[in-house]
Amino acid sequence: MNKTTYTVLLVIVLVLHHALPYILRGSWTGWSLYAFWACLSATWLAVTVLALRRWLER
Amino acid sequence: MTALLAYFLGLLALFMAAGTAVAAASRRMGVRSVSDFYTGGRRLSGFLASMTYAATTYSSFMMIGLVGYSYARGVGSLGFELAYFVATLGLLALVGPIIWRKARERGWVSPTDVLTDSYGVKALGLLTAFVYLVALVPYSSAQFIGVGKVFESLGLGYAGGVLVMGGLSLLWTVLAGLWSVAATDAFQGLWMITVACALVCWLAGYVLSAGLSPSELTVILEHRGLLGLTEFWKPSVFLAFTLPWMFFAVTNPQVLQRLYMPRDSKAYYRMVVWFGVYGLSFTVLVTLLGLTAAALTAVGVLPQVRDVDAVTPTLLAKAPPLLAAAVYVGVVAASLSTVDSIVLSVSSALTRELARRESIWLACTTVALLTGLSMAVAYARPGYIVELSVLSSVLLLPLAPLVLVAVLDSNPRRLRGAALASLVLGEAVAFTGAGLLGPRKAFVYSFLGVPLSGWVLVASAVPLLAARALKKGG
Repeated sequence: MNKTTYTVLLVIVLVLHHALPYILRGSWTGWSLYAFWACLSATWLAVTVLALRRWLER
Repeated sequence: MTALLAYFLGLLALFMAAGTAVAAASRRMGVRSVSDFYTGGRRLSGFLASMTYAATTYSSFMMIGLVGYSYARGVGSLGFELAYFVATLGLLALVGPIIWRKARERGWVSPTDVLTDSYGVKALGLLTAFVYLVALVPYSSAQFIGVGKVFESLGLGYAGGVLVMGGLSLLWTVLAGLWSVAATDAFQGLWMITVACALVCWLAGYVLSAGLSPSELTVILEHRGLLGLTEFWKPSVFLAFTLPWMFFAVTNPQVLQRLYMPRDSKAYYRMVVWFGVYGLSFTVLVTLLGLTAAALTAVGVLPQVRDVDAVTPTLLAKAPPLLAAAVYVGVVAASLSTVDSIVLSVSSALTRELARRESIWLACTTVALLTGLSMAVAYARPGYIVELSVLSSVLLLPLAPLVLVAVLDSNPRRLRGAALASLVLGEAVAFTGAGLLGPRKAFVYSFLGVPLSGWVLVASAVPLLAARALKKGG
């Protein structure tokens, strides 16, 4: 993954993080909003770890 | 003497002795120069770099403030804290490696070196050091106040807490500079995450023993609206909370300077990975504590708590005294690990920008003066200064465009005038907001649906971006 792709993904993740809870306001049930934020962050951590390893190896 | 007080004193003594031993042992790493004192000579291992980054970032706000926010305002608290987390990982991946590499190539020591060296304007460093001082002394004092209150609630006196924390902070800093700060940060970071895990485990057992099943707990929280976005989290308020923190990694000197420190690229990689694992786990654990406490209040097991800062103490009143004491020491650890790092970084900026000749002696003296100043403010608790701590992240926000352009632009020196204008304009907007509305109101104030922090960011970014567009390739 190059840095442009990573930056675009970062913007998408931040927009989803901020907008989706409001767009779907009222339809989050149980722990779904909690799980959404936690899983999005965990996924982003995994993406960052993979990308950073490649960039630093070069 | 109550069992809680006895355990607290015992654990605090153990914490102080172990921390001082760790700090003293770190002296073998050798502090021969100002660079060693402030950045560990850029020789930190991945483990030490990650733990000092995490312990410096996560203050007592986590164990006290975020638990209270989750209790009172629900899952939105997790959202704003994780927005910081996602954005920080992004900055650590995109600009962090550039800062790390340039720091080695250019010999950066002070956090202001990013700006003065890149733009070639001495006044920019001086102004930035002043901004650090104004924004971070109140923030450090707020950490002292938190510890003072813990001591006061245990019957040990407010001043006692301020004195103990000030003494430890100074000792653990002057022993070996960054080496002793980083080593004790690692020790404190491990203490903080361990007690947070232990508290969650105990709370799970306590909830079951109170006759509440996980599904009943969910129903209660849903019924109170705490698992969705409560009325508090209007979009502009959510943005007001997330925006200043999303740039924390490049605006706050204590974390910006930590990007200089890993000894090689592998250590930098490990710093980011372990900080990520630590930060995500800690945030999830802490918000679970607040939400569970809210459910316990709903069924009458815990009393209703009006003050968000009183939720953790209310919860700890039900916990076994040994665990409660360990958590209180964890609060001291969280405050201390943040304060000594801030003091060291601000000292680094001030001595670099003001002194004709730097020395370790001067560094220690500046650290002592800054620690004393934070203690004095905490002791006197002047209303406006304490309130200003809320706004620290907004006051530092104009530095975000400056740092990003400094490291990403191929020739930032052509933007020297715009760089100064950017800082002055951004700070003017931030201070005008604070002056007209008061720091607390200014933090959540929004104009045209955009919070004050958004306008600060616009005001500081426009001069730089306009100058870049005009002088493209110049």
